[in-house]
Amino acid sequence: MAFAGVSAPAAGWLPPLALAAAALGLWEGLTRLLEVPRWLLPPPSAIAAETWRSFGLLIGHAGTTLLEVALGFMLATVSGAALAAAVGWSRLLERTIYPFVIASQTVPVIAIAPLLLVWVGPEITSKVIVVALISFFPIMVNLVDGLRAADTEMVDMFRTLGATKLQLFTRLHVPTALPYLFSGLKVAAVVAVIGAVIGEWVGAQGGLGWLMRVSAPQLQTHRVFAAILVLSVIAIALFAAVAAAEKLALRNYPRSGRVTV
Amino acid sequence: MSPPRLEVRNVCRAWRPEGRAQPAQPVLQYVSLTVRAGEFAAVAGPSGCGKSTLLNLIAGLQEPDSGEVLIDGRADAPRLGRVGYVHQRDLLLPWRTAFGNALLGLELSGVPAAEAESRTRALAERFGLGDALDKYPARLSGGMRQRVALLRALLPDRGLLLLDEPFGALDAITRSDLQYWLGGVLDRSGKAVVLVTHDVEEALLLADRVLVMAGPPGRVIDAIEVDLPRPRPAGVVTSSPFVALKQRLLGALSGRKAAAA
Repeated sequence: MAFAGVSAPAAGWLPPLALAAAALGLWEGLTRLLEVPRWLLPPPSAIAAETWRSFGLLIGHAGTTLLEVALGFMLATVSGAALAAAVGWSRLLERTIYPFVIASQTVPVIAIAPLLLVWVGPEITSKVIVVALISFFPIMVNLVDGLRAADTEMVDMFRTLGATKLQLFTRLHVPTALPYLFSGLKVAAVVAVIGAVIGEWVGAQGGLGWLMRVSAPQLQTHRVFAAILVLSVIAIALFAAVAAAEKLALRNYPRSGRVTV
Repeated sequence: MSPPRLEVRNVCRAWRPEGRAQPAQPVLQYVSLTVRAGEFAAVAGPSGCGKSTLLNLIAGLQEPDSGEVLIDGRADAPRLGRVGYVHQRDLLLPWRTAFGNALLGLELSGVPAAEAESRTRALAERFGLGDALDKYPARLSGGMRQRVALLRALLPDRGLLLLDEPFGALDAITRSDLQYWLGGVLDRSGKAVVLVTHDVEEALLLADRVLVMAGPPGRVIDAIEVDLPRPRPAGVVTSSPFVALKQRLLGALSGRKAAAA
């Protein structure tokens, strides 16, 4: 796609970039014009300045948060996939386990996080668990749906070739479920960052969520925004990483990404 | 004399609507059929007469409510995996190449990889599919995909082959080409073949014998011997013996309408 003489890849970025520039310009202009106090809503220029000034501080805490997110996400992926495989394999397990899994998700994580703090302590482990709790559900639900998504005629075709239940599972249901799994992973990646912030907010010794919680009462609002900016970058980067993995894993799948033969 | 490859004896099958106390709908009523090695039988009938159910029963996907299905004279052995079955849809796995799809049957049977691969390549060459093997199904035409599906069904070299309107989804030209091609492939293969179709010409082109079904409930109302030369000469479709048989077959098929009315 070309646009007014600009090359194709650049043209894709122009509309959102233009919108962002306009929004930031509006924000900057209005806060200055209305003389909004800096501690209430800092202008983008102040946030950028703070990000630059406290870069080391932000990166340090970002590392802590990123570690919690990465470990929690891996834990969520392993446990979510394992539970989904169990539910997908056995109807009995599905009827036994699934209702409990769903019910457990109705307990708000923000209520559990303080309890975890008391049970496990303020070190990184409690944060990793919060991240895992929040991000395991989208992975599991999507994978279960994917494991059940195969066409019944495909299943019949496999059976007429003499496939065992295990062969059906590994050669039909698992490949069919891959696009669904990646949908779940993408949601989980973003939600994992939220989980880390919640965990740190409730009680921690470091991390961007912790930084926001101590900066806010000090009216260092520009630092809060700087932390939010870095968190967003982390979340976007994670999403992009999962999307790249998806593109690689599903490179031989038909365009729609879903398998319907 | 060895037992026939396939013997269907007075098979009945009904569909029971779940839950409510409704009477079962008979799908097949006392259907019988015998096919010997080297024989090609066609089953022709209107939609809803139970032809596909009949194939499912023979293949072992379902069991008859009463009556028996004997393969090589045995009713007690499991039929699933012992009968080749080609569906109307190609049902190729989109994430595998044509080659990977073709050897699925051998793979599921536990044939060692090296042997499976060489057998697949050899038969694919004879099918004229040598160049297509490395392509993914999305890149192949409907006719090519259906040929890969046929290759997949024929590689395990079962003595009995079932075809459920295998060319129904294809355009008329491709269908005609594939009908001649299939006739050539199966000629002198020694297999017993059952072809289900509602295409009268296809039945006469390929089969030695056509059974006419009516229904619901499905039952065999006529059997027509097809005494045309093998292999079928080009242009046989317009020859007078063919036309006469076609008239007879069409008469038998529409005679059902008069009887039911």
